[in-house]
Amino acid sequence: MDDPRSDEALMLAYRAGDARAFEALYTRNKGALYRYLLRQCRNGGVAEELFQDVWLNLIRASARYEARARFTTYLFSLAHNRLVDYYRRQAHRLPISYDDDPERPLLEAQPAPMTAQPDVRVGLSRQAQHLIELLGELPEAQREAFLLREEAGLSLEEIAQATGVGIETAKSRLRYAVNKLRQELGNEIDS
Amino acid sequence: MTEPKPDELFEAYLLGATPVSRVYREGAQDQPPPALDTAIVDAARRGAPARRRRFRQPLPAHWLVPLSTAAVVVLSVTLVWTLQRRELAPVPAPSGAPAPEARVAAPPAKSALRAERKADAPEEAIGSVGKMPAPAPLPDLAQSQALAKKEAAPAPAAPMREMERAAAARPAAPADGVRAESKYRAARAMAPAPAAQVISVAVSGAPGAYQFAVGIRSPDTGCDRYADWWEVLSEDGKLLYRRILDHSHVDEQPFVRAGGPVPIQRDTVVWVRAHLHPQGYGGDAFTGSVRAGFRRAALSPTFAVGAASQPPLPQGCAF
Repeated sequence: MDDPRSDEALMLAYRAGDARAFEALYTRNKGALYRYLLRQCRNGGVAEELFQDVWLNLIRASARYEARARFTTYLFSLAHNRLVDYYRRQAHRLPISYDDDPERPLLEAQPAPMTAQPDVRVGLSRQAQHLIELLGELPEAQREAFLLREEAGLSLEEIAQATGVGIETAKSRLRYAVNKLRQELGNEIDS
Repeated sequence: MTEPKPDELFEAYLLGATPVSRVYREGAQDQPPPALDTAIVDAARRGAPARRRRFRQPLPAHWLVPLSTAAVVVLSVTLVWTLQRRELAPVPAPSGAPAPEARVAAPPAKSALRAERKADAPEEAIGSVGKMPAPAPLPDLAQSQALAKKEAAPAPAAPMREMERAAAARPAAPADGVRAESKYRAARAMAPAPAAQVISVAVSGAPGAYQFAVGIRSPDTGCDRYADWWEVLSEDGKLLYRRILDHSHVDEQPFVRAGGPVPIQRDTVVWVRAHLHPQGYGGDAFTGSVRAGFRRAALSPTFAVGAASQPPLPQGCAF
């Protein structure tokens, strides 16, 4: 049975030594975090590595945890930082999509993501498969904004906080992602 | 009827329950492997902050002054006593005495080495066995609890053991010092190439689809040298499963990585070994079955060496 306590209460309980609180917290958030990393790095093996790293970082930092923001925002900001580190190590720089500026929108001119491996599961509807394919074609920063909204349920302010940008930039990225997906899916999703 | 504008559609999206969200959530089914869940939750249990804090709790304030005074007294007496003994000690003869370097590098007593080797002997517990290094300030992410309890000292790698044997042969007698030093240096020069060592194996899941969590210690330096996979082989050398490691673990040693499903039954005897890029195989391996448990065992570097070219193979090193 799911623990009735909030994520923040569970994290504070874990900080106080309650290991079961961590299990509840982990069970509640693991799927969203895993899919966020999987969709962003598009490689199952790397996603597992990063997933472990993020939870290890959380465990390491737990003694200093304070419930200043929503736990989910905190968790996904750790994940974002780990992902940025991964991008930098892999290509010695961030993907160009992170250079966006709402005052100078260059989104339409942005190149395809660094990796474009198929990321499709069997057993899904044609629509869902198509959406996952389209998601993989989005620039990383815009895809990230969409995933933080869908997987973590973050608001625009929280997306901005987790990714270290202004609200306008976060909004611009999310708007681009949603419009692009809706446009590409076309009648498939309106029917 | 006019089409809604993109901004209106976006505002509708922010309010929730749009078709894009519905379709995405239908496809959002991926979950981390169960072995990964186990490894992370185990790490969290071992790393619960309160348990760590118990060792850091400050002493009551009224103890601080007497304890500090006692510590100063003990240190002062020890220092004076040591200085007096040094003044009384005879001056060593100038010739025939071992070089200062030799004294600094004096080998451990043979009895100590024997004890260490005994502790290094294969263990039989199911799930996870092997030796891990002395506990880090915080837990390695995926070490099993069984491992954490068993670890007291680092497991010497094979080349280190060879060097220790040579070091143990270094006598205290000055007359043999040069010969022993040469033997020591020769053993050091003959040390085998670096290799990735399997140091633990933990298994979970059901027959036909077991999840393995394999602990590895490897001399990673980056993408130029790193453990790039671990694998499960049948007794006759058939590759049953391979877990690709997509990046080096320079800053995380040893480490555990989970993988599966491994298509074996409870009684199937298998080998678990790791591969180091670009050196190849050659480190410690584990053998056993799910029913009997796994233990460290010597495996020839040439055993089923052809598996190294079989897929799946790494597609690159992320970092």
